[in-house]
Amino acid sequence: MKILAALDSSSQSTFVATEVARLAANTWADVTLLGIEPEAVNTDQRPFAKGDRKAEDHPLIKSLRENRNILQNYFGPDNSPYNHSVVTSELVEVENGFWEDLQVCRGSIKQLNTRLRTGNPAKAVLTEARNSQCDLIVLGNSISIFGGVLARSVKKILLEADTSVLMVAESKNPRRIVACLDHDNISQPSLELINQMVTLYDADLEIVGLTTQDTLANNVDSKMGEIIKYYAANKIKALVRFVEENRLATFAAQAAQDNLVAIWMGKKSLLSRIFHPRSVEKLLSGTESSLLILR
Amino acid sequence: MIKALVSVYPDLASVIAMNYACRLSKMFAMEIQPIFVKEPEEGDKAPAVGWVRQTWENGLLDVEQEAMNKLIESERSVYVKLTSLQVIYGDRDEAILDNLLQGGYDLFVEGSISRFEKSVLLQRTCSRLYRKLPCSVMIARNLIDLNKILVIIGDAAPASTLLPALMKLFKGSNVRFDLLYSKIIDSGPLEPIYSEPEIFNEADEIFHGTGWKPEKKLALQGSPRDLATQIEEYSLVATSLPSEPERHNGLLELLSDTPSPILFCRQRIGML
Repeated sequence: MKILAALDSSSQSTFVATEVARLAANTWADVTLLGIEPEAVNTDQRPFAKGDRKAEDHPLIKSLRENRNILQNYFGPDNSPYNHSVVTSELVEVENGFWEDLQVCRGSIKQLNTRLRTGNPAKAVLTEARNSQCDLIVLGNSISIFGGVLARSVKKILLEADTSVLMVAESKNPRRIVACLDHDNISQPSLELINQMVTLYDADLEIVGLTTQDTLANNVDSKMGEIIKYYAANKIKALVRFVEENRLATFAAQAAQDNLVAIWMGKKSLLSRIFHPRSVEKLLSGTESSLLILR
Repeated sequence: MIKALVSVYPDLASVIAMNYACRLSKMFAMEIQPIFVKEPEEGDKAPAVGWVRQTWENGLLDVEQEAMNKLIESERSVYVKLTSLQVIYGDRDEAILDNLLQGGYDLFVEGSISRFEKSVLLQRTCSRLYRKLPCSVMIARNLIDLNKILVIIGDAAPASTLLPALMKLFKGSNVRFDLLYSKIIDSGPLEPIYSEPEIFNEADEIFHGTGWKPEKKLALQGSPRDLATQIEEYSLVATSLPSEPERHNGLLELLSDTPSPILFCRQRIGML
C-alpha cells in the first residue's frame, strides 16, 4: 500500500501525520509526506521560494520535518520499517578468489519520502498522487475548511483524484464507518481500506445500499451480500441499510455528524453525480467528522 | 428439535435471513425449511386450470428458482441440515401462513433491511401474516454473531407468555441474556427507573429451577431513539409481537431504530 499525506504548516498537520502513522503501522505502507502551500487565505502568508532551500526556519519545511519525526517516532527506534540505520556486513566477491567484507547500510523495509511541491495545492497533490501511484491520499480538514467553506483545492482533490482520499477530522473518533454503495464494481483494496478504518477507529461498519423506488441497482444486491459475508468472515460487524437515492445527501450529512462517511465513487457511480462539488460542501459543512472517498 | 420456516426471495434480505438461520442452527438443533413464494405480477393471468396452469406457473418460477437454489446451495456447503427449497406460486403471506399452520413450525424467519426513510416494521407487524402467526418470528436485519440477547418485557410483552416461548426456542443453547423493562416516552433524557418493576419478580419465578438467569436486569426510561442507541450492542432483541400495533407504537419505533435482528416470541398454537 502507498499512502500520500498532504501536509501544510498548520497545526493540524501534526494530527494528520499521527493518523498516517497509525494507518501505516497497520498496513506497513510506503509513505510520502508531501508539503503543500495552503490556499492563500492570509495575505501575510509567505510562499516557499528557491532561496528558502537552506532556510530551516521556513514554516512549511520546519513543519514537514517535524511531521516526518512524528511518523518515525511512532514506531520507536527498533521497530520502524522506515529506518535506514541497519548496518550489516556482507562478504562480496570482487574478483575470482578476492573477497571484500563490506559494511552495508541497507535501505529501509518500506519507503518514507518527504517532498515539497509549490504552487496550486490541488494540482500539487494530484500530480504527486499520479507520479507516486499511491493507493490513498490523506489530508486534514483544517487545510480544507476556512470559515466553514470547503477550500476549492480540497474539493478538487476529493472529486478528481484517481485514487481513494481520506479527509481526517481532529475532533473525535467516529462511532461507525458508514460506507455508501451504488454499484457492484468494488475493488478489493477499497474493501481492505474499510477494514483498516474499522480497525483504526475500533468502529462498527454500516454498508448503505442506494435504492431507487425501493429497488437496488442490478447486481448491487448480490454484491452487498458478498460484502457482508466477507466482513462477517473477517469478524467485522457489518450492518446494512437502504437509502433512497434522492435522500442520500441528507442521510450522508446526518450520518457524518458522528461517523466517518465512506463513499464508493467509481467513474460510473451515481454518487459522482449526487456528490457534485456543491453537495460535498453541504456534506462537510456543519460536520467535523472524517470523510473517505473510495475508488 | 426446532422446526423453522425461512422465507427466501432473490434479494439481500433473504441472503441475510438464510445465513442467520443457519448460524442459529449451530446454537440449537434446528431443521430449516426454505420457502419461496412467487407472487403473481401485474398482468399475470393464469391461462387455464389443471396441467396447463401448472406448466405455466412452473415456467414463471424457473428463473428465480435457480437463483434461490444457488443461495441455498451456498449455505448448504457450510450448514448441511438444509432441506430442499419449497416453491409455491400465489399470495406470499397466505402461502406462508398455510405452511406455518400445517407444518407445525416453531419459528418463522424472514429478512428485512433497515431503511433511512421509513420503517417497514410497523407495516409488517400490521400484516395479516403477523396478526395470525401461530409461532415465533425472527426478523433478520443484519448478520451479527449471536452473543447476547436482550429480552424486553413489560405491559405489552408479558413475561408469562414471552419467556416460556423464548426458553423453548433456545433450550440447551447456553445463550446469555439481559432483561429490560422500558418506559418509552416521546422526549426527555434517558435515565434509569429506580424502583424495581414487579415484572422482574414474575420473571424470576418463571426462571426458577430452569437454569435460566439474566446476567443483568435493566429498567430504563427514554425516547425510542435513545433506548435504541443504548441497546444496539445486543446481537438479538426478543420481545412479544404487539397484538394490536398502532401507528405510534413506542416499542416498534424503538425496534425500528435498532440494527439487531428481532425475535417476536409467541407460543406455538395449533390450527386456527
